[in-house]
Amino acid sequence: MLEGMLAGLGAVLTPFNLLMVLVGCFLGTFIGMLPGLGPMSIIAIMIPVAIQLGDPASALILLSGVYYGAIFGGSTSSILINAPGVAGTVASSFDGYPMARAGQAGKALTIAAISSFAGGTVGVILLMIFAPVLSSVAKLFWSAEYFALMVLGLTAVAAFAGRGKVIKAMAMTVFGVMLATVGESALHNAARFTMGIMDLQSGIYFVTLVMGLFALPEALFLVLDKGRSESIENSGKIENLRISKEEAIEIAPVIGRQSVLGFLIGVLPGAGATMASFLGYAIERNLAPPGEREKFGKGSIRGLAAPETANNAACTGSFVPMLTLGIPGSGTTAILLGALIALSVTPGPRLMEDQPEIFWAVIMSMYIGNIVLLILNLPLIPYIAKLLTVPRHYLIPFVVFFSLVGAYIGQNNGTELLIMIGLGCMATLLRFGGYPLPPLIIGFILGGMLEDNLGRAMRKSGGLEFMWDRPMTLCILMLAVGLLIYPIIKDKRQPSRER
Amino acid sequence: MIRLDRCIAIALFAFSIGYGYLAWIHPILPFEVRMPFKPNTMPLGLAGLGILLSGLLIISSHNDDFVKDAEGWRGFAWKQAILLVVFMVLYALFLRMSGFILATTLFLVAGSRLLGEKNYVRSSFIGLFASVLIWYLVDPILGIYLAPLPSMGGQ
Repeated sequence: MLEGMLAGLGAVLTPFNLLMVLVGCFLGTFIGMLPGLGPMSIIAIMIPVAIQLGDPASALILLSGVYYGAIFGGSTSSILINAPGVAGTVASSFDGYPMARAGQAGKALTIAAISSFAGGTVGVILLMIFAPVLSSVAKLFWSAEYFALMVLGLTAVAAFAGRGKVIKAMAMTVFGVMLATVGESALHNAARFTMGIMDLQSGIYFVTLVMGLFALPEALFLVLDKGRSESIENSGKIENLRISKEEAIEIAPVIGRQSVLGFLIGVLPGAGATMASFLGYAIERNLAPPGEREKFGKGSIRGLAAPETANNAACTGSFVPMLTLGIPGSGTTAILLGALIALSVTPGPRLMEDQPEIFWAVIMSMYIGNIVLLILNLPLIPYIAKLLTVPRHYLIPFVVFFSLVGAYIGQNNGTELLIMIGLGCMATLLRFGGYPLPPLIIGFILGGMLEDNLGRAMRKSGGLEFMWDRPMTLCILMLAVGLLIYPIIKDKRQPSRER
Repeated sequence: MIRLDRCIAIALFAFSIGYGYLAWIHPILPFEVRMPFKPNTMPLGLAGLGILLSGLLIISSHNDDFVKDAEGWRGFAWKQAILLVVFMVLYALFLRMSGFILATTLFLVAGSRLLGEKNYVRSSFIGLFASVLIWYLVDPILGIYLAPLPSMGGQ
């Protein structure tokens, strides 16, 4: 293993490859900040450039840099303007954005950068140690376990619901899953619930929904409430970039836990960074002491560190099934898999034996990418956060414009924008009505995978027997039921105690 | 007066019934009839859950947040928000027809004017600069087609 690592390190540490990491991280961060352009689209765009380089190691180093840069860039737009361009950074906006609004944009970005670095680094170390072992565990999971895992992810919704809002959060989750069923499902070719609109044939576009639910209502709220936007303008003043010793001590265990958890979730094909970030957030909220728990959703540093760490660790974990089994664990790794094949590298069980230099070069480039990203982005944070000092009359139209363009790019479809505006107006009303929106987006993201795995499991077992036939499925489902019941009992108990 | 959160619960209830009805009438192909999992299996379950949860919300709605928000209901700049939505709709409708640069510049100028920018020259310059920059980044650099001008809109 040591020989392989040294060979990988040797391949990465050449001036040209270091330049590739630098270029990749910079481009990824910059483009990733544009809502709508997530790691998947950026890597897809960069593949022709990477292939032109000829050398697989250089190409993968460039793409890894772009990948990590794009994830950090996505977190930046989530934190600063509440416009998460990709599903994996939605959870970062729950506490990152309130922190930015409270004048702690610099601190929020620093925590995001450090958590991402730590999550990515621990993920790489775990990848090196456990890649062969974990790939065999992932092989034990079949659709029934994946279905149970999706249910667990959806019931984590309880973590996002404040007191007395559990049923509202559940209703929003169901509504999100309903939206995910629009269009063709993976198992059936016939389109459903399209109402004859051709543009809905392939379902609601993720970016359209996420921009409609998060960025547009935020812009509308800023217009409706002038005081709110003035507080945002003030939040651009980066007086406090550093995190205190107490804060570092507070987030250290969160980072430790979420690095491992995120990595393990990332290893499971299909689960990926999104589920890792939501579950990480949910777990940390439940683990937090009561006083701290109330801060979640209002600017908790634990609430920001958890999804950021889990997200990055899961991104690294998703490389395990790709490199060891040839199965992409996420959309992004599916594109990277395509790039590897185009570069005449065949990922799979034999890669580690046949081309160890490539295997280890990928892993080492991820590690170097993490370090470069930290060195590159920490000094840039004050300049990135200056984005918020843009006057209100320019900031709001630009937030709206970026949201609209994010949904339009790649689709070239005006109907998509109209759907998004409709969703934005609906989300504004839901917010006024006290309905939490994060559960809706979780339902939408996991809905497709939920139906797919439920269908496969039911077809294989001939009914719902799969739920109790396999102990692992039963255990995960029981955990999900527990997560569902716990907040309801807690809600019922608390008022009586107060009385 | 009926509270907003209850109105939303009623809308969700109606939506769930409509969704359930569409799922119920969804055509099932002959070979799917005996399958344990049909295209409408999960939607029917979701409709049931939606009806149950929104029904519970209608019965039990007591929303302190809304009462709090409603106090400031009149103080909000509704006219500006509605006009911004109108601008968004116009942008969506005319984006392909007028080309990215023209539509975006006009949207940014109109949006900033609506929110208090008095200087047309400055807003036009910023709008034009931003739209050209984004177009340049997206189309020539990243290679994602984005028609810049009306003549190149090519419907």
